[in-house]
Amino acid sequence: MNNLFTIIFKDNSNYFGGTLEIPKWKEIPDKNIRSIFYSLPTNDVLCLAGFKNIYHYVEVTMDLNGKKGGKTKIEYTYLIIERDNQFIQYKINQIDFGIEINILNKDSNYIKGLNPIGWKKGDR
Amino acid sequence: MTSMEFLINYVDADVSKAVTPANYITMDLVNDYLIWSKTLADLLTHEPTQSELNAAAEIIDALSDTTITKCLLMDYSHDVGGAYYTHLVKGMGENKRYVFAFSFDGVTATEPQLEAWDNDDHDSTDNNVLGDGTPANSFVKGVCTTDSLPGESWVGSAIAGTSNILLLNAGNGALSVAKDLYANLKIVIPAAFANPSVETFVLTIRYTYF
Repeated sequence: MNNLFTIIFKDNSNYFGGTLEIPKWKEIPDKNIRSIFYSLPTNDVLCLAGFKNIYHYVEVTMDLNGKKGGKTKIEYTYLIIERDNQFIQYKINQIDFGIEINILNKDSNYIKGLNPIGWKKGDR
Repeated sequence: MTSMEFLINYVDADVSKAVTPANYITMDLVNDYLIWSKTLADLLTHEPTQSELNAAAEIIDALSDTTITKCLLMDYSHDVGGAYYTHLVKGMGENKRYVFAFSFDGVTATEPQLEAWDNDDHDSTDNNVLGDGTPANSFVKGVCTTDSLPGESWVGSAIAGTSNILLLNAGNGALSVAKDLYANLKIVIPAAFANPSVETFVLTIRYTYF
């Protein structure tokens, strides 16, 4: 099984994430993160470092009727980093494999509406 | 992974699931489905045929918008309250709060939302009922009732595609605990609509987890 992500902490210890279905993001120890290596659906790896805070979640859809009713479909995963008073979102398409990078306003309803338990500390 | 169940209230739309869970039927999303109809009977003891559905269809009015009269659950397992295949969804389109329930068993990263699409590809809204490519013209109207009643003669928001969605936690953002969310839905056909048709569309919940 490939881990969805690997985290290197500032103290040089590490943490391995789970899968798309069970990412184990909430379980990350409360330590400063130096860098994250994130597995992309293309089998490439996205490396992020030098952030103040980082956030990750998986987005699924579930049809309430139709041929695929009741099945969860993983459509996107998201990484958001806070750096230099900017929020940078990496929207990773798990179906078509593209990555969209967006700069987000810290006062936006989107940022304010995120569940605060998902934020993890970086080393900046 | 946080999971979600979709339930309909078939007894009393003034009472929440937390108070009386027995008022609700959990939809089997593989086999059950919703039927929007003018006259199809509640408590049928068989799955309605296409002929019966056609005979019970709503009539488009030349002068006024028409809200489809009934929404019924087609319960494939017909194991609730007797051997009944159809159950009327109580309070659909009315000033009722506890009609359609979305029960989440854990936290989410963002606010869950309801969407409507042509099919499970989730990339088009060309059906007439979804506004024929103009989501704001969707016949499917929804209102979030998680926090409050929808109000008398509620209009609701058009639901179709990515631009016209319904936030299910009343705009309060992500779920910090397991929670039941509620909405009321209806289908409103514009007056003298010129393209009568039989259409299926897909209602979709989009939610997130850590």
